[in-house]
Amino acid sequence: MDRGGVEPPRLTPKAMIAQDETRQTVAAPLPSPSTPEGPGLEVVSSSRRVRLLPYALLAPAAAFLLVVHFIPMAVGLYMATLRLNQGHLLEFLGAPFVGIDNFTYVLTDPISPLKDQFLEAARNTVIYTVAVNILSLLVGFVAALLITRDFRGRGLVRTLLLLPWIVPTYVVGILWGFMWAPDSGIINHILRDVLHLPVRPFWLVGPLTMTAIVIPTVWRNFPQSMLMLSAGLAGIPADLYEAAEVDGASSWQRLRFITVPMLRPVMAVVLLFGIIATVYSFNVVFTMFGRGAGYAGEWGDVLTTMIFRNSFGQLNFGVGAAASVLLMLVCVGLVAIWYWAFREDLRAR
Amino acid sequence: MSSLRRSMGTTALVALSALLVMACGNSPSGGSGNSATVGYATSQPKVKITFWYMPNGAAPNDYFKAEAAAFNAAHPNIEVEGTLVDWGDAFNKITTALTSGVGPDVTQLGTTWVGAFSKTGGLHPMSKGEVDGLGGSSAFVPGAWASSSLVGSGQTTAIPWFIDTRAIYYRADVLNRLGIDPATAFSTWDAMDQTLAKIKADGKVQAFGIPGKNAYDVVHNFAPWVWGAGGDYVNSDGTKSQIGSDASVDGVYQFESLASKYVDKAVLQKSNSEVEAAFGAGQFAVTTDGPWLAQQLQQPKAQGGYGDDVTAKAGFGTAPYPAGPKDHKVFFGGSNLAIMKSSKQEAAAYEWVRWLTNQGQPTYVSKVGMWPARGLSANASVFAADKYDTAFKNQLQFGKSYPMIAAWGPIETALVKDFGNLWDQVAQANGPVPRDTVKSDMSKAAQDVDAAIQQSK
Repeated sequence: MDRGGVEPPRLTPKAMIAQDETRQTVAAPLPSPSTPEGPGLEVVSSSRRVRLLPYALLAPAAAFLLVVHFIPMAVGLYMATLRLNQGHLLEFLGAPFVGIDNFTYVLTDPISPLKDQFLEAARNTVIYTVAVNILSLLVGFVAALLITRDFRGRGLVRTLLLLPWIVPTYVVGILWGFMWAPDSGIINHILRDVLHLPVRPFWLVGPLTMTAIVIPTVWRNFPQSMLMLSAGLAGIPADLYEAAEVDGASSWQRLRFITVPMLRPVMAVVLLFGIIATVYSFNVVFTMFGRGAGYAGEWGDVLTTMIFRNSFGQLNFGVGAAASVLLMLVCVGLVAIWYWAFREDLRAR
Repeated sequence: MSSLRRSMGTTALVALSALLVMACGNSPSGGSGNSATVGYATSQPKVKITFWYMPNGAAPNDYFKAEAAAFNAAHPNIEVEGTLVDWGDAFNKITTALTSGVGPDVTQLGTTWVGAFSKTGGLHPMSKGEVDGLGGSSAFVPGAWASSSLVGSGQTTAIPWFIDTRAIYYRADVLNRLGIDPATAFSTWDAMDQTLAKIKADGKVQAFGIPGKNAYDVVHNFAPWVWGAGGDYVNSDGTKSQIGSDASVDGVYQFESLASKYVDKAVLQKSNSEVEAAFGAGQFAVTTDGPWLAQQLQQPKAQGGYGDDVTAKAGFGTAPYPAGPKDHKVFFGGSNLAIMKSSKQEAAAYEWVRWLTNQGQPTYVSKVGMWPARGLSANASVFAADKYDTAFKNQLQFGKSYPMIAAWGPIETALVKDFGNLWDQVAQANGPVPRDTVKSDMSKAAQDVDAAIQQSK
């Protein structure tokens, strides 16, 4: 070197990311206790006067949450302890109190038909949720990588990739139900008449039913993942890639050691929203199998459709409410697994 | 006094008189109002009532509008606003209306739902005067009147409107070509099996076509076979399931075997309307359906029918359902009309029910392709003229309906799921599902039915 001395050692991409994160945590100085922080957040002075404006602004949203979420949730929990069947339907919350009988009927009663139905539906819900979210994330990630590149027609491609998201979920179920039809459906037409494969699968019967409900849901959901991940990609500093390129990192190495680690927090959020939405997903399965028996079969019945069938079809809303509480616990379980997997990414820096 | 004040005073006096008459004469809880005082006189104030109806016939909205217009001409002070509700949604929507108190004034109900909805207490119980105002119970076909109340309740909550039964439809040209006599081709289970076997062996057209689990009447399709074998779904008082008995299993096995042998598996996954369209297009030679299919096969495509298609042009016929080895029974269902207790216009709603089950019945019921529940209406010339109705008329004597018990709605939901499972097995099997498997499935169904009965108490 002209200046003499030793050149500082070049950092690896991983070290650069760590350095970048450290800079971010030390960048913002803590506010001085005597510094005012702006309108609406007056520091507690010696007179302990607290402005009420933020609470006033939050009040409508809080009231809405109370009315639309918390009160119905509490009513639902109470309904789960009532014998709210057809004989007591009009009494509503005045129906006889039965404690945890509805829960034991769903989970442990040997003569209850719901026990097997619940376990089957719970299994299907877990498989469906995991498959849909992993596939939506993967497809969304690939699509995000595509639309963040600069190429001719990128705007059109992005619009086309967003189209499935605007199709209402009940339309997705009906549409794909026709597409999966064994003789008149387009999927089997492509397999048999275009690709000349010697198959005519019955997609809506047996274990293939799971495939038949996962694929349309992924088709409908991946644009949301794509959008969030593309926003995340835009936030990754370009100098990380430049430094890695200079060091001779391949595309795969840049993807694996820069892109994916930097996107983990975004992926965590995408997966969280996806898990909750998919556990409670109803429309696609219900409308795909809504004709006739309305029963998606051993491999298609999910907890929401099972609860709907046994509440409205059996006129037994107490049992349905109990099963709904158990569904909520299934969701909590999956979110707990999510938290264990992403706890490091969620930690404040 | 001005003419406006005079007319207002007159109106008030008439309204007050009407109110007094109604208060004295018409008790909603089975009181003794006589037939002369029930209903909503034409001198009463204008009101609007809401009516939920299901897809009856090829053009349900047009048929309703025509009937509402005719009713309005006779009752200018009552306007009827109709809403078409699909059969697949109807049970849930009516349940929601009963629980919320927000729903129609009058609703069409499947006969099999009368017990379940009556038990909730959300249907208006007809007074003696109101029943007499319809002509009394004797004016209706006895088998149909049995569906007007919950067993043991003593209260009439749903008036029979039309009867729905199923018969065999066949391609007359196919049977003719194969030398099969239509008069005996479907007379017994064995005869039907032999007929279908001949058509299959001929190879020119598929033998049989029926919907499987995607039928809206999954349970009704198995019923004649279960009964024909000497079995049943539940015992006579509806306290215990019978579907797991050997006789019932024989009936279920017979029907699923016929389907396995003669129905294309892709056809089994179609819905009712898809199967009807496929039969109209000539995809298979034999199917089972209600009298409305004959209507549709005679109506041109422009009116929603299949009259321009293969089967109509080649020629078709109808035959009564086959007799089983132990009994000969056909499913007897249909639709009733109920007034919701939450209705604010019960008198006007009653007038609409009276119209639909009397003056309006022959025209409407013949258009939608059903059979009238009112005895005298069946003599109307519009029913005698159609040769395809003969099979349905002849088998009315074999009609059997489900018991009108409170648990029937939940029982049917449970059976729909269990039969749906069986149809899935048929779709995946190579040949008929073995009798042992059917026995195991029906034992599970029996357990589900017993649980539904228990939970309904």
